[in-house]
Amino acid sequence: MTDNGLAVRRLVYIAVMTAVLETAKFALNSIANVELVTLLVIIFTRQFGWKMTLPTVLIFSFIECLYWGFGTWSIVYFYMWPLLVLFAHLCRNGDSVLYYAVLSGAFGLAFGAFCSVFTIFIGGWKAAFSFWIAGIPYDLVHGIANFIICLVLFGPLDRALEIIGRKSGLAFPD
Amino acid sequence: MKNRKPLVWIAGLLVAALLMFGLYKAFGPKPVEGSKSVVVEVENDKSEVKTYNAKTDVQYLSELMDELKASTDFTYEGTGGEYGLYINSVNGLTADYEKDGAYWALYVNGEYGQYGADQQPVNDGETYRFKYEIYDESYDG
Repeated sequence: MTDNGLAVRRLVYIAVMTAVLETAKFALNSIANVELVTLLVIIFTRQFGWKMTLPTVLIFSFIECLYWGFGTWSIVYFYMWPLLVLFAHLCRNGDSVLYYAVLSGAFGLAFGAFCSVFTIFIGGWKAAFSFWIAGIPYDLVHGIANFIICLVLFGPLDRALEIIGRKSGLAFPD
Repeated sequence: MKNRKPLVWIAGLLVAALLMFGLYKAFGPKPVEGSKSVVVEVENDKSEVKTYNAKTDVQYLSELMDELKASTDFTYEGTGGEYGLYINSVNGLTADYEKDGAYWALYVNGEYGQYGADQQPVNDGETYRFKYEIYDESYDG
């Protein structure tokens, strides 16, 4: 395949991956703190590499802002998901579902802490600490849900995307 | 020898979850139980303030709001979200953030509230004000 052909194919895959993230997000919007985005971002990074997943999560964050409106919280999305891409990239050679379930669960647990980092710049350390502490029950639900979802769905989804990646010629780690 | 790494990871995750739970218990919002006299104020889009004096035993503000809803003309509608109860309307006035950046802010004793209504402890002598506000973009610099 030519370089141009590969570039076009990458763009199309990034668009499809973004659509999948959005669909997954909207599908579970009614269940607070239960989401598939973390799992999908981890698998995308594993199968397609960070160079394709990073633009995907940035476009996803932008679409979320368009839908929900831009606010101070928007900034959080623009560093949270790229941070997950980084973690997933560093852990991409894990050989066990449990390994990724723990990564996914840990990200859910730490979600509020990461969000509160931005609050430091708005309201100071005290406000950030209060914000984080107040959100801990939600983070615990998020962490447990992420762990279970990953445990159940990681295997089949990872295998399916491995096949798609191989057939598309894009499944090369960065 | 069996690979014990996964067990160590899960144990680490559990320890982190327990630590967070401990921190929440130690530093999280602490309600005071017993009879409490509090004031709930509603400031609408015309800056008119309606005051409700209440005596209650509830722990959280959302419960007090439910009590007021049942016993006075106070009304509210809200939805549960990732970070707790989000109030959409109070006393029939709906704040539509997507339309014009309007939202219902919560003040506790004149200070901007740190928690949502379902996490805000109700303490004796406190005043809670629901204020209709419009998001000011210039605030973000």
